Parts: sequence; C-alpha cells; structure tokens
Amino acid sequence: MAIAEAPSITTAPLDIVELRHKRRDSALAQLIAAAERLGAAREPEVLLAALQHSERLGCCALGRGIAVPHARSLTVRRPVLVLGRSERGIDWGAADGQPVHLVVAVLTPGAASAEAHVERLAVVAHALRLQRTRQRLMEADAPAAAALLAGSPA
Amino acid sequence: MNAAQRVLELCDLDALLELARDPEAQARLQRSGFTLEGLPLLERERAKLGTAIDRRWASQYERSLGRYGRGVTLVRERVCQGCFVTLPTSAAPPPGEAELHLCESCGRLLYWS
Repeated sequence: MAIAEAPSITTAPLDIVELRHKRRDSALAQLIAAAERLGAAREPEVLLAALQHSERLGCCALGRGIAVPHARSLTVRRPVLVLGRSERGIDWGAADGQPVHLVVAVLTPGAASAEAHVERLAVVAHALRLQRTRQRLMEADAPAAAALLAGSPA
Repeated sequence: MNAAQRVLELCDLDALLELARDPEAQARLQRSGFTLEGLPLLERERAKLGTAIDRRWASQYERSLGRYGRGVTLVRERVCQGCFVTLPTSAAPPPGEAELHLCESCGRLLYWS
C-alpha cells in the first residue's frame, strides 16, 4: 500500500515495548503506559476500558501470532502506534489458538473520524499479513518498525 | 473511576458502537481480519454504563449526543472544540484534575484536563 494512502500511520510516533506478561490485560496496560510516556495518552484506566471494549466487540488477535488492539478515544492526544513483542507469547484467545508474539496497539484520538481509524487498522493489518514483515518486526528498531507497518520496505 | 472518567468511557464506547454499526466500516474491518460478533454484548454494556453514571451528567451527555452527534467535546487551550468560543479563566479545573463542564456558549458537555 502506498505511503500516501496512510499518512496517519507514517507520521504517527511509534514506541516498542518488550512485553513481560502472559496475560492479555497486563500486556494492554504495558502498551498504554508506553503511550503515556510518549505523551500521546492520558487517563490509563479509561483507555484500558476502551481497549477492552474493542476486544469484546471482536477478539483483536488476528491469528498467526499477531494482535491489533485498538481504540478511538478522547484519552488519546495524538495518533500513536505501540508495538509490543513477546518472546514466550501471550494467551490472547485467538481463533487459531496460537499465542500472540506481536502486538500493535493502534490508538486514535476521539476527535478523528471512524473512517480514519478504520483506515489505520486496515494498513497495519495488511502489513502484518506478510510473514517476512512479522519476522522483521520482532527485531526492528522504532523507525524500521514504523516503515514496515506503513507497508514500506525498511 | 470518577464521574468524569465514566462519562469518557461512555463516549469512547459510543464511538466504537458508531464504527461497529457502520456497514462500510464493518466490511473493511472484516476484510482486514477483525470480527464484530460482540456488537449485541456491547450494546447491553452501553445501556448498563448509561445508568451507572451520575444522573446530571448522564442527561447532559445524552443531550450533547442528540444535538451534536458527540456526547463529550474536548477543551483545548481554553477553547471549546465544538463552538470555538474561549472559556473564562475561572472555569479551568485545578492543575492535574480532569473535569466535566458545560460550555456556556453552545451547551456542549466539555472534558477539560
């Protein structure tokens, strides 16, 4: 996908977190803490509730060891991606039963349109379809990860 | 969670429901591998959350939602992001405290942090 079609992905800051926990909600809390450190989010309790609501709408583990939790929330100050990596895997309740090793939290400000949020999700999900991209994300630094998630070669 | 946080949670949930009910968004999400089978469950949660909020804020929220399509509007640099009127200095919450207010100009429910 062309970079021009996803400006919010390519311009959004990205942070990388090594996930320590095996439980989904603990991993979500770690991702939120990273977004807070970047100054991109506030009210962690409210943001956690928003991410949990998305999970209840439909499990955000897409299979093949990846999960894309997401929220369009008033607690998000600016668009941000947080990439979480887990060597041992997280039990996310994926339909294929596989533990999750790569998590990309897509956080969009509440004032953004639903269409813009869905576009960001589609770009990230599309990038994660390639096995090579998933493998490279396990070791990439932040700029390379941002490029890979935008669908460009790092 | 305090009253302001509960209202924010409700607003975020309404944003998610808006997305989940939109046929185009549904189709796009499903093509990307997301599932949406929990919509009825979320609708029940929304009803429950609506009754758990302080009655005063709940009624202001519903009024803002009905009139403007969004239950809560942000304040940025003392400006209501709905009608763009500058709010009085005296309306600012104490530092570090997020608060709900009503915009005196347009009547929107405001989140000021």
